[in-house]
Amino acid sequence: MAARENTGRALVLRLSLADLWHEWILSLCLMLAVAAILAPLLLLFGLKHGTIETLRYRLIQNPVNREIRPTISRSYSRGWIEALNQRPEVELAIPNTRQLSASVLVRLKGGKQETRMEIVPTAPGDPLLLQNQAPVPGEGQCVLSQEAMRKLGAKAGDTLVVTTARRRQGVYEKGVMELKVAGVADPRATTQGRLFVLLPILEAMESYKDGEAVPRYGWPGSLPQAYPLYDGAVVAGPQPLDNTQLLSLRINTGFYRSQAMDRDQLLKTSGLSFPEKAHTYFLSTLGSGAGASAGRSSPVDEKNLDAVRAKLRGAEASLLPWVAPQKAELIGPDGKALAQVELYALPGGGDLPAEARPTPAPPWPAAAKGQGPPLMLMAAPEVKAAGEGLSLRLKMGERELVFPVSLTAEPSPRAGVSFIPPELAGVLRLGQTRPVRYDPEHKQFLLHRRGYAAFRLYTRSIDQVAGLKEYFESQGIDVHTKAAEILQVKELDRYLSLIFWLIAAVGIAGGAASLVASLYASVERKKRDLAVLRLIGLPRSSLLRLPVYQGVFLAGGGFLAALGFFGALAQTINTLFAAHLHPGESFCRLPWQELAAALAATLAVAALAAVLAAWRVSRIEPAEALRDE
Amino acid sequence: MEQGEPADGQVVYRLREVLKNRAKGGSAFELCVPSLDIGRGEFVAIVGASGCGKSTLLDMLGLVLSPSQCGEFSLRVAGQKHSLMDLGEASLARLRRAHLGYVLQTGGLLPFLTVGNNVHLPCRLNAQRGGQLQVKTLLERLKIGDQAHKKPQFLSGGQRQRAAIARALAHHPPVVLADEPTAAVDKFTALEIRDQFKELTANLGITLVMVTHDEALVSQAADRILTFQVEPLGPNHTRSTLREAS
Repeated sequence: MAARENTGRALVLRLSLADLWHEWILSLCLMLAVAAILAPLLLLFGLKHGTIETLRYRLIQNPVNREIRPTISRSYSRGWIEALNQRPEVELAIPNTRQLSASVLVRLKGGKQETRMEIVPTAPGDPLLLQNQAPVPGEGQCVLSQEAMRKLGAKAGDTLVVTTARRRQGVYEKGVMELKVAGVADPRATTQGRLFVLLPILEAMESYKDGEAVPRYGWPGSLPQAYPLYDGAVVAGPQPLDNTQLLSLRINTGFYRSQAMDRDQLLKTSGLSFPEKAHTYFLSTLGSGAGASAGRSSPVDEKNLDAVRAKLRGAEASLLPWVAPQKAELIGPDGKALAQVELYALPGGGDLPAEARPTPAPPWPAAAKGQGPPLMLMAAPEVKAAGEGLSLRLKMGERELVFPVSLTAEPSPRAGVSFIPPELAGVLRLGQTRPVRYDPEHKQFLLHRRGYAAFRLYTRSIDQVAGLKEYFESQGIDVHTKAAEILQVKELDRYLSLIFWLIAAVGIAGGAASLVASLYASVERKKRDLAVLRLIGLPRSSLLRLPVYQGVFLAGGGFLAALGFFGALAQTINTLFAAHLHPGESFCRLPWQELAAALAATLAVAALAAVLAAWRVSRIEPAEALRDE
Repeated sequence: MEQGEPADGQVVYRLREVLKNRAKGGSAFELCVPSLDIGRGEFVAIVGASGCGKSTLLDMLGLVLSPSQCGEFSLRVAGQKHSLMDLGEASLARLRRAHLGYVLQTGGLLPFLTVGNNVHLPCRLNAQRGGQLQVKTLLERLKIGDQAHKKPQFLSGGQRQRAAIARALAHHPPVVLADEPTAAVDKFTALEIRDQFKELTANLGITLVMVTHDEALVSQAADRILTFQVEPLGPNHTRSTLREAS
């Protein structure tokens, strides 16, 4: 039975084709009719895909429209920017330096004309370059904007000489590096003269401008030494200060409050014990106070202390810097934590008369100018540790600071209170506000990069800009976006799409109707032959298949012909407009998925039309069809 | 000429009290077959003026038209009796395919197949092997062996009718139905075709039912001649009853 059914199927197919071949002129006409319907539709879809999509893509996907920049410069840590990069809607966030650091002099190697230009940091995956026909530059390379190329008269492959200038101690200095031009970005990336380089190059320039040495490029300079910060100070002396004097201590000195403080309170706050006869005062900074260390505090530096010292001149009083106690771990040579310690600054009161001098006295020498503070610890009496190879570890937010210390011969006299030199405490205090690292080579605390003044961020799609803008604003960061332009572009896009679909809908409906009409008429014409086949015993199911095969074949042939027309026209259009296109863009093209969908839709409509017609024809009694002369 | 009732096992068609009502253009027509048995190998001619219902009867016998009402309507082929009123469209198509041959007034050949392929088509539909040789012999016996590769449109009327006869016989059906097979050809050709048709069906033991308006053509050749008695039942109502011609 199955074999017979298969034979029947093959037979029906052969009959269908024999019929089409017999009436080949009519078949050709039908195919051409189908092609005439399909070709303009394919062309319309091709143009939609080419022109409209290209324009739309250029508008919508233009990285400039997806850019978010903060309006004010602030310190954004690398970790914070990294976290931005982890957000799903962020394509790329690139840290940026201060505007001022990015201004350099550029000339073509071998040329004389120097041009001032701004440097923009980039990173792998930067859409602003990649989507504007430029590569991301590598180490020792740069990408120019169109305008920069014009100003410099440079082209890809040329070498540029880039000069970073600084004034250090009144002397004008230059740091020079050579960069090879890796590519030129389209004008749509920026209309300004810009030089795109990898971030480390720009960081080096910024460090150099800050007076630091950049060994990588052989640029000399100083080390970025960490400096101490203090949360307050104790003023002590044998004589009391009057209110006017006390008040003056907080005028233009960076201190917020000055008030008398008794011995017990001072012992608690600073760990220092003053003699009964001493008159003691405490200067606090904004947001400081016992225990306050983080948050919105504004610590003071050596200059502020000097200002106070200047005001105290003449009065028999001494200034003892104070840092809020800091928790740390004492670590043994094996890396194991030995004890938790609370670090207090222990300033020397050496210039005070004995009746006002606090105890304990510092057992270390005062820090020398230009050198780091002595790395010594007067550990609390309960700390059981001795010997060499000890170090201290402090947690500062997400960072950690570890440095070696040696213990003083005498332990601290007070339980729970470990003393360190005030400058060391001050440097550790600095570490809470900006990254500080201990450099074992120079045996100094050096400033780490503070963070980045700005960033440049691209969302994955234009739709995510508004949401991310809100996020930044909720974080207190005002950002610059193209939200207004995006709204316009989206509106335009919506109308364009709507117009296209209106045209397409009319075209598709007309096309389908015409296809149905052609095939229906063709089946109607074959009514008699179908009746004969039915009479000689072709089952109805097979009979219905015959016009379906024919319809599919005719529509398929028509589709191929339409595809031929479309291909030729698309080629012509693309050649004509080649000058206005980027590589990889076309004015008229159809991806194969769309073609396959169009083919499937055509065949489905054809088969449906044929089966409807055939079903109606098969309802007529053969007797009528046969004798319908 | 054989007279009287054939034995039960020899009956191909048996019709009892078969009635077919048709309404066309405001006038009603009623075909009535009180009793009809057609035996194996018989050549039965159905004669009558146009509009008397002979084509309607042939369509019923050809299983493409079902009676409006009937006592019995059966077809015995390949040793099996089929009660036609109980069968569905697919079963009827199967019976038509395997057991019936059909010759139409204008041949009813498919214009897109060659004569050879037209004749071979029933064999292919029945998945019969070795049909080609049979087709060749058949065409030669009908003296159109040299036309096998031509499309029907290039044949004369007589050749076309012979090809149609060949197609009706190709798969050796036990029953062949012919609807005015010679209406479109001249008298001489008609006689020739009639003789060839009769000879072939007689040789193969095939039951032949031929409808014609030309009584003279079949009066000598047919085993039995059936005709109709037409009586008006009302202003727009006619009844036609089948009866043996005297």
